[in-house]
Amino acid sequence: MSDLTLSKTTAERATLANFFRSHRRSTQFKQIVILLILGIGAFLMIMPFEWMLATSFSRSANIAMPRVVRFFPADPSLFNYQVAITNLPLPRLYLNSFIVTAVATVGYLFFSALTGYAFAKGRFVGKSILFLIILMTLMIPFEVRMIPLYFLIKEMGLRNNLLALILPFLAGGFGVFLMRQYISTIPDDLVDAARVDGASEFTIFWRVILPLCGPPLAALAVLSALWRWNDLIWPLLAISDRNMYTVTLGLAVAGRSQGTYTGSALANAALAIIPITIVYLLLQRYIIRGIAMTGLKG
Amino acid sequence: MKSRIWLSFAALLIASFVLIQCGTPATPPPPAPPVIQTVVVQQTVVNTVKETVAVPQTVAVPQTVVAEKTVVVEPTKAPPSGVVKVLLIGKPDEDSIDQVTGKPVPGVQQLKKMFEEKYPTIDMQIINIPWGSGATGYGPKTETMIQAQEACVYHMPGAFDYGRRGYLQNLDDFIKNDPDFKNVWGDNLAQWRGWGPGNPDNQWGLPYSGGNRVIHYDAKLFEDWGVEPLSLHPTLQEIEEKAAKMTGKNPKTGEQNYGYWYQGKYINWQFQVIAHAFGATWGKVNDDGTWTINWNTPEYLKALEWLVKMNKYAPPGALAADAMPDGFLTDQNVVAIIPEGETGYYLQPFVSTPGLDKRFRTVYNIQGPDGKGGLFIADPITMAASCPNKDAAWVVMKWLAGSVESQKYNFDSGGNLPVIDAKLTMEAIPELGKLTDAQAILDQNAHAEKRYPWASSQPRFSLQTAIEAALAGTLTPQQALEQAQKETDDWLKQQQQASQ
Amino acid sequence: MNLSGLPNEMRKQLRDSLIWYALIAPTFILFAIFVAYPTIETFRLSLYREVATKQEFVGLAHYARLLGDQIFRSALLNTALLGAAFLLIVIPLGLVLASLLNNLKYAPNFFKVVYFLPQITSSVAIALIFGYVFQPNWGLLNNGLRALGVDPLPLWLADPNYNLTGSRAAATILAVYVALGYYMLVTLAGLQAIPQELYDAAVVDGANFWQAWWYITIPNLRPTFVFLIITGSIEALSRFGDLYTLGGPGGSPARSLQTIVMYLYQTAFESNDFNLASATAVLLFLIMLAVTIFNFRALLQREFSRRD
Repeated sequence: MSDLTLSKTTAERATLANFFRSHRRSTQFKQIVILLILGIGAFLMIMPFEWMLATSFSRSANIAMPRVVRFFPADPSLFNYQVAITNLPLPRLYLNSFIVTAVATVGYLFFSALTGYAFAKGRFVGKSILFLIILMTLMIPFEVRMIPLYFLIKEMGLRNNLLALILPFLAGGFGVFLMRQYISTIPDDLVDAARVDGASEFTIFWRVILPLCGPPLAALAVLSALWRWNDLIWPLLAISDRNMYTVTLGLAVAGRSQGTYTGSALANAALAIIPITIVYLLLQRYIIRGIAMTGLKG
Repeated sequence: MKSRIWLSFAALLIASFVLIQCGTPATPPPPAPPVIQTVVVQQTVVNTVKETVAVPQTVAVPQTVVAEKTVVVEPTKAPPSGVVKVLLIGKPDEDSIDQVTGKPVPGVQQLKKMFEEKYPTIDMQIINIPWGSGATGYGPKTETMIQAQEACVYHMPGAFDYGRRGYLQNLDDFIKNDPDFKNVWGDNLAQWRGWGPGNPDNQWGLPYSGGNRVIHYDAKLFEDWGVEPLSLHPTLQEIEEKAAKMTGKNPKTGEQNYGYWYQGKYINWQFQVIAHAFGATWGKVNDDGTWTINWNTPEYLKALEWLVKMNKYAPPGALAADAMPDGFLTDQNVVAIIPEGETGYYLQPFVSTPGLDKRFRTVYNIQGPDGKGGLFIADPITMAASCPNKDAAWVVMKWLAGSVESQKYNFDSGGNLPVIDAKLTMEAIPELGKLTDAQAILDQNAHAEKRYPWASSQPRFSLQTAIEAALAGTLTPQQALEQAQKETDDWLKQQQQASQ
Repeated sequence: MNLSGLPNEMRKQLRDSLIWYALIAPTFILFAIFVAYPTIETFRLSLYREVATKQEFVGLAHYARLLGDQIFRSALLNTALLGAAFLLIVIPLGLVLASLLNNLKYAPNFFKVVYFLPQITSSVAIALIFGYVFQPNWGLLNNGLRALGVDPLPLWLADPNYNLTGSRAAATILAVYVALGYYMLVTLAGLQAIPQELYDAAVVDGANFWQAWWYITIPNLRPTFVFLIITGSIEALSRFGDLYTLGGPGGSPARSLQTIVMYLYQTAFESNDFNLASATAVLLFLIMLAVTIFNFRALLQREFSRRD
């Protein structure tokens, strides 16, 4: 700041000082206004969750809902949770969701980084055409290939197998693209130095490149985990055995078949949401940084 | 440090793969080594000369009961055995809790246990899927399972459709060749005869899971308003007049009351009942198995106009409802006449809460000129044509559909009305006979309309959408029926082409 | 160039390439199986029809049928309408929130976490909750509006009309609620990437807040907007899970919530017409391609012309 002002005339300097002084004076007021607006927004964001919790703890919610807003149930009870836990094999669903999300995400990161490295630092015949093919896969949404994929999985005997929820998502164009963009920014000298030391390309990738790829990998991990955890349409097709349901699928199925039982349905929703929210709160710094990153890189 | 993180990632990857392998449903363990009881085999040889050749030598009778069994076993033939996969819909997976009363509900494995106590040679493997509509409902699941030949026996609301497409086994031969077969379902059995490729008249299923649609009314609200109770066979006019009277501020409590109710998400069924009362018929099954469907007729138009008129007596938002009105069967109820009361909602509460059926009364559904009215609800149980183990599957079907145990289980687990005749029903669940309105509840199905073959097909969804549009006012009743007719005709044409 | 030297050169080049091919091979094998094959198969299926369990070539008949199909057209319109309404609300709102957050000194992280929360939980869970939030008689929203004295209360999911209180409005509120945090965070990252010197220079030049915002913030956020509009369009075009949870098979009431993907799903797995559904998928693909190209051209035109 001082560099900037050094060359200015005194008059200019005075104006600038005034600007910042008035700025400082309004700062406190401005902060309060911003806090107020964002606070109201935050309240609106949280309210449905709070209402979900309040209703899920109400004993009579399955029978008749109150016609006024309640943020604490008039008849608190664990009944709906008792119903939810007895009537839905939640631990099993969580295990399924966790396996699918973890394996698919780790695989996605690995293949994205490996392929991204090849396209960023490799020299091989047909590189640009092959990369174009990668970019083309970005243009093919999942829904477009869903039907033959469903038949394919069936032929492979993978229906009602968690592998069906993993294999099609191990490699993705977006991941490769993002990793290539990032790895391109890593100086070639690093790679060359390792090469001179006689390291193989895979060793360079594993020892030199990967450790530098924390930020994009974290971002991809968040995205992939969200995609896999929240996917509905594909599990709906690939899985019909209740024991293989993911949390999202179990919730959609239970929610729709419960009809009028608001309390149980919301207790189910709460049980599905709370653990993921805890993970989110623990990892929020990385998740939020990761999300911002994917936006910038696009 | 970094490498350690990656190492742990790799470990996670490996561990997860191991977990997946554990997670995949293990192939069923081979049945326990068969204990071949010499006595049985010898008897078989003595009594049946020709058939012994075909008898599989795997009479898997647990050793402990062998002594008893040898007496019981028919000497003519070894009992059917092996694995039979059964698709059931909407049973509780585990022993669970009723969502309103908190009472225990027996899980589906209880059904398996009861069956296998009776037929120890057959391994009945139940695949249980939920009801619900659309993608998460039973429809697409059934479709994929029958295509993948995943099960032998199906609880199948859309049996006519699958029969028509050649996926089902005609049961006539089984019935003919089974000396033990008894029709315990009365007229219900004939409801499941339908067209199939190569044979226009097949027995596609046995009645399995019952229910009905009745009309409820809240006796207390009627009293508050000073309105005469509904008659046992209410007419459209009576319902309209009384609903109109009871919409507004309740003279006693001051609460907003509504005269009428409909479940928007399933409005098609209610509409069919109303239309039937106006003398409408949906069409017919042609000789070649195709359907002719007429939605766009003066009778349907009158029915839709009537329903649109009644909309103003129903609570706002009924169009989005997929259940009974909020507060139904409690003191908070504000709706006086509740048509299309479903067994699943009322039957068990009536049985378990004494006095409830005195406030929430039950009468017959609206009847047409032919004395019929109300959806026929009993779903059938069917056998896939691809079933590799048909003799055992037949035993399973007969037991599920016709046994007192299985029908009682349906009541205990889902509040279903037994499909077997009234005498057997009383034997299974004596409490039903004691209900205030037992007559209407137990007799409604005898007055139900013949089952609609299109009940789970495109024509239903087209009509459903059209009625929603008419109720919401985005289409006039006339336009709505035209739209439904056009979509249905298009679909029928397409189906005809596909089966040529 | 020496022609006789080429084969050797090429051989060496290819040999050097081998290791790289090995590195990209797994990805390409996965792509071949799970992307290329099903995509080509979808195109093939769309040109056939099932006649007595056999496939019969019918050319473009399915496409002709789709384009004349009232249900498909209404699904198309819904998708476009819901997508446009969503983007028109969520991007400006995300920008406003990001700008506020960018100027906030206290607890910015708290707000980031809270606004992003719905994105973390599955869209199905949120849709499930909102199905009850929008309940006309006792839902959270109408109970709140009743307390504020609103009369008559909106019917939300029970009203398929084109208005601001019907099912489409409810679906849009839901989508904005879920996605707002993401749009805010991405925009915020864009804001923070704008060099501070630009603002300092503007201050020196006597620019006021709004001028700085209009002449510096907005143009510098262009890549962010491009990214959000393109990814947002694609997402809106493939919308499925939440609406299916709210509206069931036909996107009820009166198909007001039926999108293209729901139509596709219903055609394939409820009406069992996989061929027609494949044609729908191909059309969806072409529409996405067209929208993306259009967005690229329209939004990046300035960049392109500048570079040329």
